[in-house]
Amino acid sequence: MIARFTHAVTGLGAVGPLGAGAAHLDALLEPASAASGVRARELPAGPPGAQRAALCDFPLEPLVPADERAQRLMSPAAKLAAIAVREARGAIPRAAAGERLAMYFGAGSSGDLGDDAAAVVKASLEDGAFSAAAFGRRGLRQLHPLRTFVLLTNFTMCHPAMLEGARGPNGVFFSRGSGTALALLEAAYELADGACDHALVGGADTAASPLTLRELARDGWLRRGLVPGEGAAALALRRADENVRHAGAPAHATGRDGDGAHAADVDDPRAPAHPTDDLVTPPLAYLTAIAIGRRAAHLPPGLGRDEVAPEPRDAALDDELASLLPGADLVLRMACQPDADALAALTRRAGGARGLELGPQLGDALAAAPALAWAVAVRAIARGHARRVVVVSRGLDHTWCAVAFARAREAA
Amino acid sequence: MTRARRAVITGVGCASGLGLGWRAFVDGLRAGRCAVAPLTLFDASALPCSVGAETPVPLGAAEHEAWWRAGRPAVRAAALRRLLDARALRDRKLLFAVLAAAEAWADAGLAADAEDEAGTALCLGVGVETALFADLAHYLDDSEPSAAPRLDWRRDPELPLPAYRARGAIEWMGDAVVDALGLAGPVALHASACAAGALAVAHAAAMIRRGQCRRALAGAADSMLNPGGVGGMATLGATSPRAAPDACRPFDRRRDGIAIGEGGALFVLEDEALARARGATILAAVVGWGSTQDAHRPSAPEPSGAAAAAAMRAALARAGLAPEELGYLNAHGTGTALNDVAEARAIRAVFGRHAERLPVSSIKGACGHLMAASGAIELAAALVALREGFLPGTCHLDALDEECPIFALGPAGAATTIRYAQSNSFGFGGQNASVILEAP
Repeated sequence: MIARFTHAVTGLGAVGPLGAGAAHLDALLEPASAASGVRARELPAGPPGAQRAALCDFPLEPLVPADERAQRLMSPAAKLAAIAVREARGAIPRAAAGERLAMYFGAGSSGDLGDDAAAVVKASLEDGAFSAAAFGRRGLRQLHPLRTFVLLTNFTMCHPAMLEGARGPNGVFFSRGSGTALALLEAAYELADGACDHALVGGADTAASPLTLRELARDGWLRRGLVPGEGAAALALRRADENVRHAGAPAHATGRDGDGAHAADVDDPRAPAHPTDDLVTPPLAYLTAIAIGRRAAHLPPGLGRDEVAPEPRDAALDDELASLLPGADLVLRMACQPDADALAALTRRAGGARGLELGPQLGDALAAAPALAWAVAVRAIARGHARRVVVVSRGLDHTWCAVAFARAREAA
Repeated sequence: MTRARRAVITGVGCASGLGLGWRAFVDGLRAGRCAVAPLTLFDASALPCSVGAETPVPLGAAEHEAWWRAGRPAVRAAALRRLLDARALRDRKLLFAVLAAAEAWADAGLAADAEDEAGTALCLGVGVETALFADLAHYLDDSEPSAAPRLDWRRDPELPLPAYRARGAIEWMGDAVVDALGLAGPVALHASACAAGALAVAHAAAMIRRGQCRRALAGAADSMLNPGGVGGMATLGATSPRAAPDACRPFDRRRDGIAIGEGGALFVLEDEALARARGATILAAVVGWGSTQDAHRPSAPEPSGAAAAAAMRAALARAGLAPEELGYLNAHGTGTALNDVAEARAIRAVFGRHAERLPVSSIKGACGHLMAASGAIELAAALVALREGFLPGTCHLDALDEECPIFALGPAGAATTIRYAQSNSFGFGGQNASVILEAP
């Protein structure tokens, strides 16, 4: 089912292997990509030997808009989310009421048992095996008292919500890809329904935690070519009619072009970088359509089958996803192996559109993967690389998603 | 003029410390039973918290399999075989999810192995991943006595399931339910701590109202009754320090923390037109819902209850109800010092003078805090209030805290008939959800 909207993307934030700040994603759009997200490295889990991974090779902590004490409660994904959301939040007027600011996020398992896990296990052994009684007597003392807060999946969104004062409608969807698409869909519907004025939506995750890497190895994903990634991206959304209605919108944000208003040129010096009043930020792009589909039910490895494998084709779903492709001049693909080839075949239906596979540069950042691809799409439009971009993604959770962004509004 | 689509409940399934199934849940609440008792699932004697509300299921492998095969007609036979082979149903979260889903499916009059032509969506609340320390022990490397121990993740890197599970992957719950019932629609896993179950039901109702699907299975299941779960909550200071059946005393002036429970509740929601066309019995309509965030602190609710009140008001507004029309409120009512006061303030703010006669209760004293599933099992308690002619009481509420000036029902509950019931769920991290049901 395709849901159509006319929402303005007014802000963008991203952090990933290319750097902190959405502008770093521009490297992916250059004809000869200067991006070098994927490197060979030793990873702390998975099959021994060099692994390819696309990770953030810079300290996150100085970038997180929270003090050291608060950061102790934050998982790596929560830190990534906080960085991306702070950047996207800059596009929302400071005067906007927190009660009218929605937040929807896709988040994965934190995977962060912490440095204390080994000490907990060691202190809980009796005769070489874990003992609940020994855990109670000794192991528990090794556990950081606030560890549970770090493990809670929803804190990936709740920390940025606290930092940005987002008190409106919200949801956290567990994601290996699909949940993040659902977060975008829910945010879009809530905006359309008038339940909020602005929405911050995105995803944050890391595949680099030892626990997650170990599971990706166990389930056969690494062997089949998945490149672990990490990052976060957030979009600030607002209903397009609201953007146009506000008299304060700069002229270049509301000019006419065919069937709708123009998006702003992100490099236009007239565009306010960090609005602090209630002027409406000119849109960087418009979110125009979302299609989400799931192929036949699958059990994960170990629950009924041995390991991951390419999914059977579903012609009806392919047709639905492909129906968003006509008119696109750029198609971005974000797919985990082993379905990258199927995704490429699907997106060839876009005809002469330029195609770009993001996985080799950004890796698979699980819950963050689709959001990072959407951020690339918005940058492509805002930088004038394309007028209509469709992002097609496939997550580890069997869900396929197509999202269309445009420079001009499209009829819903 | 086209009438807006309404989401109605046509089936319900429950698992809690009060027993397996809807009837056990109703009977337990009616009798004022308390399921909190010393933990037997593992040796908790040395933990700061050693009581909880365990859900009674067979534990032995052979007994477990026979039990499944005997009484779960809604579960597809091939799927049951796969789940049993993989030992998946010995993961208590999965077990409760599949149990409640199967009961709800059958209660709605839907057959096993039927083609899911409605493309049933699954909206499922999920909790925190379970740290399985017993499996982690395999990776412990303390070969250097002078160094801190570490986990050597490169040891046996492709050891398969079920031999290796360092954590109970929470997304498997969705896969197991989809496989058990053959669902063909979209899957949404809500990871919103204690608000997850309520948000999952709200999401399903929204999807039906928007026309995204015509039928959905929604709710949540969870179990934190394992060493890491109980120990983790205890170190947070969330659990009552008293190892007694009345460990959880919502709104009581002597309250001192939660008791952990386990289980789940799932509901079949349908577009009312679809339900009526197939002659289904309508149990209730989901008419209102709202969500907000405290945006306050990770470890404590916003003390004024302002954001919680906003969620309740949003639910009332969506239902088109004046506060005075509400007949019963099932509170989140954790039995912690801070939560109950903040919730009581929110109730007063929303209902004003009506709060003095609006019956409010919390079932956490009876079946514990089901964590991610609390919103689902407590919405089932709201459904009890609509269907069964009585309002569940608040176990162990003997002396109402004057800082909680609400009309809280005591352990006996109340016999009455109402039309609208509301259920609150407030999660760690400050996510608030509120859902309103209407009697058919």
